[in-house]
Amino acid sequence: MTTVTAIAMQAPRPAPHRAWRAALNPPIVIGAAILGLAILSAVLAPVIAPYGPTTIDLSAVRKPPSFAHFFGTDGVGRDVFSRVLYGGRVSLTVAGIGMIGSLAFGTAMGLLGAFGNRFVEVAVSRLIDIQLAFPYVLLAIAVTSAVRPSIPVLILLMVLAGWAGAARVVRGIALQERGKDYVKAAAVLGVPKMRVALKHVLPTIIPSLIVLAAMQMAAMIVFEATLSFLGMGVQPPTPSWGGIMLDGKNYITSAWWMTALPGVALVLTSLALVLIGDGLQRRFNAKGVR
Amino acid sequence: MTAILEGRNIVKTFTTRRGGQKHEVRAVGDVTVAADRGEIVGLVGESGCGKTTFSRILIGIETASSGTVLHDGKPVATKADWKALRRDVQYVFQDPYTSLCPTMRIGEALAEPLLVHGIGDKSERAERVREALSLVGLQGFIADRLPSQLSGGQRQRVSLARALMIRPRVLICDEIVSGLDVSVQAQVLTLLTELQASLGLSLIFISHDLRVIRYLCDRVVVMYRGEIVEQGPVERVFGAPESDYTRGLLAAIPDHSRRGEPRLGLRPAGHEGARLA
Repeated sequence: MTTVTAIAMQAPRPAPHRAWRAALNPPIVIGAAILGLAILSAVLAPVIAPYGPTTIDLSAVRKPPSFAHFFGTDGVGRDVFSRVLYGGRVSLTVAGIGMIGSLAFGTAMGLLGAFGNRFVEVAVSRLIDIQLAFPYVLLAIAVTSAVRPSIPVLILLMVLAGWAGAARVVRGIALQERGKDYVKAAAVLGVPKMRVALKHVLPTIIPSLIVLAAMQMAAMIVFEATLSFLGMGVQPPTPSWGGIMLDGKNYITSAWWMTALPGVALVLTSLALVLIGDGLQRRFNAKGVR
Repeated sequence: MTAILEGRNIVKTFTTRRGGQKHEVRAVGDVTVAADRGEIVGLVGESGCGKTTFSRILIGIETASSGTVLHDGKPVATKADWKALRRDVQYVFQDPYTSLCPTMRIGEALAEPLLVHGIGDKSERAERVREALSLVGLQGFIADRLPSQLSGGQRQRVSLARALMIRPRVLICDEIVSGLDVSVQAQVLTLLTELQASLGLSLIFISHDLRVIRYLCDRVVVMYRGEIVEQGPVERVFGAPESDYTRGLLAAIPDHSRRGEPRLGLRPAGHEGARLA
């Protein structure tokens, strides 16, 4: 015997904030929340931090995380939590400047590589290849053995390490755009090449640049930490995430919190940026904008 | 009288490489077409017959393998010559969806040719943009729109207006109506004839649609496989075609005028395909 069950058709649920929700897909929301927290705590460091970033307390050395010291203390009794907050200010600022610098230089080179004459085109693409093939840590060692490491030198290294990736992406898209009719139309109308590159092609690249900015920022945070950890970046006593980890390196077996907790801050922040970049990429692809 | 624009003995070969072997494809072989003052020349032929390539050579988007482009009777050789040619000759692209910059507002796109040629100041240019829009039958507010906010017909009107901004003497139109709905096609064609008459333009009009050519042109050049098979005044070519290819093309026009009339039972209903003897 069979039982016929009437299944009530569910009416499609109205979605009042559909457009809003579509713009904010989960990776973007999660990424933005974490990044927002990171930026906020960096900005508000002087307010939140329970101790000064360089305040030494020799009576509380290498204390594990507790309510007095959330992230514990380091080898000379400095509060790791406060140092991570203040370190975020330095790390994020330096990475931000490095990101903008590398993106600006990379975009300029990418456009030059797509719109220059044949010689310039070949020169730029070879330069990109060379830069991409060159290990950036080696480059940093070479530069910092010649000049004393400092924040400006670090930013210069960031631009050097990051421009080629951006240039390759920009050049690829620009070459694709160059073949389109609107670029030919501009040439026929007498618009100079430089103007075509800047006024017609560059605006079409902006969505990709935004995605690239998020990804590049994540890479720059890691880059800063790498170089500071190796002693070639931000110099003590200025706290930075990589620098704090360097301070804790010698105690890693006995006092894990000195290296692990700044590491967590670093990983979460760059993860947030990658999520945002990824979400934006999906968003632009869905819209048909590249 | 020398023609304003002439392509003389134009040849274009493309080289493709497949499996290490070179293949030469002759897209245009020895084609000569001239446009006189105020004349509408039609360039007709099937897809891939070299019409577009030839027209692109005339404006310098492609370079000819051999042959010369003449501007007012003088061969165009240097960069400066091309620049001068492009002040006199303009080009409207086939696809209105790709020929307008997607991120530029229409007003800015129309003002740009004036800007780069140093014509007028800001307010004069804005005035010229308004004039140009009304010339092609668009309202002024279109200037604030992006191409993505316009229909195909509107975009093609904008393309037309943009090509006319610097007041050229010759306009090359590459299949400008083939991407549009039939009703919009008629509007754009009517507009084009009006503009041609009022501005005294010479037109090189490329199409595969013989009805459009017959409606519009004074003279027609029939191309097949990169070569000219026939040319002459429209009435003559359509009335008494000399080449088999032209006859085949003409027979392929779906004829709506005789629909419903008895056909004496000689042929089955429906049109004949182009027969190439």
